[in-house]
Amino acid sequence: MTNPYNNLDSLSRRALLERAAKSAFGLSVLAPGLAAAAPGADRTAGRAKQVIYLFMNGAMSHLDTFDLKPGREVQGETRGIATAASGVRIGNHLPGLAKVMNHVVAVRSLYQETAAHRQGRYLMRTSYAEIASTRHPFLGAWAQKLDGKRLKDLPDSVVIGNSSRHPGAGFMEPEFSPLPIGRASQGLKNTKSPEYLKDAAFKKRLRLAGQFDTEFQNRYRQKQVRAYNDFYEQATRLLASSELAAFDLKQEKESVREAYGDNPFGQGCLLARRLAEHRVRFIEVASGKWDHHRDIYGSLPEQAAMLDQGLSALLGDLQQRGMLNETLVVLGTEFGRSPKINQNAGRDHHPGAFSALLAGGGVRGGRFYGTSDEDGHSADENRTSVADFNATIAHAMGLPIDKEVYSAAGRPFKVAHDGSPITEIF
Amino acid sequence: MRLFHSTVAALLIGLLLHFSALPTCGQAGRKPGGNKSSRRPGARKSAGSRDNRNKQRKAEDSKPVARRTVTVKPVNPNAKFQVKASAARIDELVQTGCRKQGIALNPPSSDNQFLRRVYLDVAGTIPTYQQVNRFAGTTSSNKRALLIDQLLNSRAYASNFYNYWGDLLRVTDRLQNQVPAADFNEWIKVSLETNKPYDQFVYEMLASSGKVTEQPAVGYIIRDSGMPLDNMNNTIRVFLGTQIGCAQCHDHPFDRWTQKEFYEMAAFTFGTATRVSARDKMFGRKNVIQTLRGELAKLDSKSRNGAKYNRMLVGNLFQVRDTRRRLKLPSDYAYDNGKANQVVKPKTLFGDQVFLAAGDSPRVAFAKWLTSQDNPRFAKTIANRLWKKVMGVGLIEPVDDIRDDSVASNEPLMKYLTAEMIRLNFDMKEFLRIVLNTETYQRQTTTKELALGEPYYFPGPVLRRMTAEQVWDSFITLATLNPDRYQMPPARLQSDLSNLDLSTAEPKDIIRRYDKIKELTGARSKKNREKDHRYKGLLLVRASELPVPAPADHFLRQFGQSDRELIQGSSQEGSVPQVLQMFNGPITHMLLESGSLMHSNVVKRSSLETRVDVIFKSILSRRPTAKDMQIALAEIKAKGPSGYGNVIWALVNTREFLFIR
Repeated sequence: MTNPYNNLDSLSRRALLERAAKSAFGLSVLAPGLAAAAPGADRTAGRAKQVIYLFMNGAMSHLDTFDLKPGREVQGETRGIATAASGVRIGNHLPGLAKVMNHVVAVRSLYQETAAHRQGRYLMRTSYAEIASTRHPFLGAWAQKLDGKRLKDLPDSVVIGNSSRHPGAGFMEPEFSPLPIGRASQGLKNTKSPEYLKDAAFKKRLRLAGQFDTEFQNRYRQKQVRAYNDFYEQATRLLASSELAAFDLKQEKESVREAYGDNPFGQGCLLARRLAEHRVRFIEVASGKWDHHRDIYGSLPEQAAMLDQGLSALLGDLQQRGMLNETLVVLGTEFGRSPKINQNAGRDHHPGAFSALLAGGGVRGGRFYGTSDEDGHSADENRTSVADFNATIAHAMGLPIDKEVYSAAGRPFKVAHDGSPITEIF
Repeated sequence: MRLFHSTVAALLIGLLLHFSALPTCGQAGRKPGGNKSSRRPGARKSAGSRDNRNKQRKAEDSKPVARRTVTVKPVNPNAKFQVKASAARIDELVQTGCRKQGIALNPPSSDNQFLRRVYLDVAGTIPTYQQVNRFAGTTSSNKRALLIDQLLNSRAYASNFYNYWGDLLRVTDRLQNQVPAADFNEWIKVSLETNKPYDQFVYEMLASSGKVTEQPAVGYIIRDSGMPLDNMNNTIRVFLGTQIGCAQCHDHPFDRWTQKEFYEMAAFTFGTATRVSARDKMFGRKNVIQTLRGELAKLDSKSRNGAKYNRMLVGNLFQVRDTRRRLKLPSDYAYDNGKANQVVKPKTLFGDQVFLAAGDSPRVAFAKWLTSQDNPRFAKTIANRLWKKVMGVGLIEPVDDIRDDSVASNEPLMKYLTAEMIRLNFDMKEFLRIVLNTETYQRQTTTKELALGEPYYFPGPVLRRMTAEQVWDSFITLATLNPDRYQMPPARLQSDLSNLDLSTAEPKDIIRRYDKIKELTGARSKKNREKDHRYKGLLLVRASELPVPAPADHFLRQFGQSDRELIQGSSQEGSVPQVLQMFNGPITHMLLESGSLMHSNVVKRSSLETRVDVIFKSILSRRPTAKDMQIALAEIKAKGPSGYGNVIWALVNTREFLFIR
């Protein structure tokens, strides 16, 4: 997107109005823009101590969720429903979320260039296009790099749902890798040592392994080998830690577990909340099969119902525990789906316009940001690039957006590439 | 028998005995169906003595378990000299390439390094203790070449490469909601076992018509049912190593392809239908699914209005056939070289143009063009991919993003490998045989880290972590006595029953078939098939005989098996859960228990030194060094039996175990 405070030509009506409101309340027009360059001085930045990022694998249809086109042929079977935020209508498949939309900003002007799943996900997670010569780190790794390791025993980032080809730590060292959890309900597996194996015996075994492995490790001084040394250290620390309980959903009441939904995504949201309580900084929950090329109205409602239950339970729960202000909840996906419904009653890939959500973490909810054109074909007002969107998350976390970090090959990279944050939603 | 650790009970005694009482694999010709066991449930519990139990088990085993029986096609026995000559030519080209760059070749690998590597690369697993000894005991000067042939001639070759193709072709247990993939998946396995020429393998996937239960290769197209443009995109990427996906929506930003060219390519297969309408005229214009459901609901009140039988109903609508549907440019087409909604004529991206006469199937013409030896990227892509499979990195990287200006790190070698692939008529086994016989493959792996994006000149193979399937299969090799004996049920058992002609299907017959499938796939039959292979909830068999993808929290997924949503979605990276699996996972501990192959191989020996030797050869495929021996003996002398457990545990927890050097 274009920063409205730097580029007056492209100011949208909404941005203009908001700016007018801010000046009317006696705030300087330029202040937020300047503040963005120096996060310490910006009161909108850094509220989000934790981020829970829900990733909708397969590309969630914007037209059937947050970017409705009532009365247009492209709308298909989805109808709008009113929400807790006046003037904000969303798809009828999301009735639970509608009740808590007052916490949520729906960004409807996202766009990107690729219509391939893998490349789309990679861009969403890293702000960079996937190329052969390097691998970029995902946001969670960036946060740990820029802000330092936060937790002694637990990992700083966790990825729930086992997404293939997650960029993880990218070019950064393995200590920045997220910890992957396959199924939330199983938590972290194999943390129990057999009864006969006392602590000292375990350490003895590890020492033995180290001795036998000396020749190999001295010979192959490569990152891929070194990475395992790091994971062995992390795992050993974790096993001895009382924080292990963070991964155990069995410690939640049955009623709470049910409230989130008896499915991997719902339980993933609950696990994310537990981890956020333990101050894990960045938690990603991947979900489902949104790739509705065929019979979208046969399969989307079920997918949306799981999202609806998990996300609304999460927001309600965070709110109740007083954690919502310091926890940014993000809903993202790789791209949108085609306005035209195809001959198989489905929607195809569509990178020209798509939607995502931001809630909590200092975000002032209950509104939309940006629009797509009349048929949801292209992003229109307040066009938001993937880098801008990620810069907004980084901004909420108080990360230095302009700081360059060098890869081993000496190339400079930034947390959100060339993006600028949408400061006006805070 | 002694245990390697003090408190775990001997859970697996039965397992060991049972394996030894059974016939080995390769017992062909057993037929499915037939005599039923009269054993009452629970009868086994009452069996007391070992003898009795064995008798009883033998009786149970007379109930036949149907097996896939395919004769593995061996390598060409008359090609030995040609293999040598081709391998020598490759070495010459590699040496020239390295010399130009001033790079010294790596020293030759030791026999043990070679043995372990070639087992993992061809059979997908580390060798057993016995295999390590056998190789060490062979004195023949061409023993490496003999081992290569022996492994390529084994069923394990197909098992290993099935995992490789599964990753590339996104193989899963379901093609669509109501369409099981068993026939297609088995077809891939059998194609590898019979060493079907690669061009034919691909041609059949692209050009076949019908149902997957009749023409299993159509599974490739049915996998992407409803997404013809993506299917084209995947096809070009997997088989021609070229990415045209960006051009689906606009001219490709980094390569030369225009959106128009993408559409012209897609026009070849856009008429390919994957599903027959339930109201097709062959069904008399009535909705055949609704009609049958109605009748089934009358016969079976618990069938949820007939929906219970959906697999037999909807599943039979999925069939590949050609229609006259024509592709149009999108309604927002933005370039000058065409108009919105204009019909697109098929045209190839590169290479020869295809001439379509009236009545020609554009899809078949496309399949011929794609798999032709004249296609400039078909042979090259598979040569580059297979080279990477065993050397660890491709001559052109990424292997699936070849462009007009892509230059291989050793261009003459790339040309030669491509020419060899064509000379061999796309025989993948012979191609691999040549590469495996090179000095280049048989050198030590490079110790220096390979930087991403830097060209590699192949002074030797690169160091790789095992794939998820290789880690799993290696553990299975260490733990179980006869892991290759288990097979998943042959696909035809079910597909013969589920394949119906909907226009003539009788509701009563549908119910009969459905019940029969239930019986075949039910808990009891599953238990019978799996009974000797289960341990703590895990089915301890080859990865290629397990459901795909494995559940998200399975060992295989932890170690990076693809979720099969993305082309080559697998990963070889480490993680904390992997380490926890190695620490405390059931498989690690099974190794330490009585009944595992590891355990039984150790306790058979009497001297401490020989036992340590067994442990090292089993896990690391090499003898212990003097220092290893000293450390291990000290541990065992201090700790007694649990000392063995500690040494075994320690060795599977080394990087040396996890990496292919």
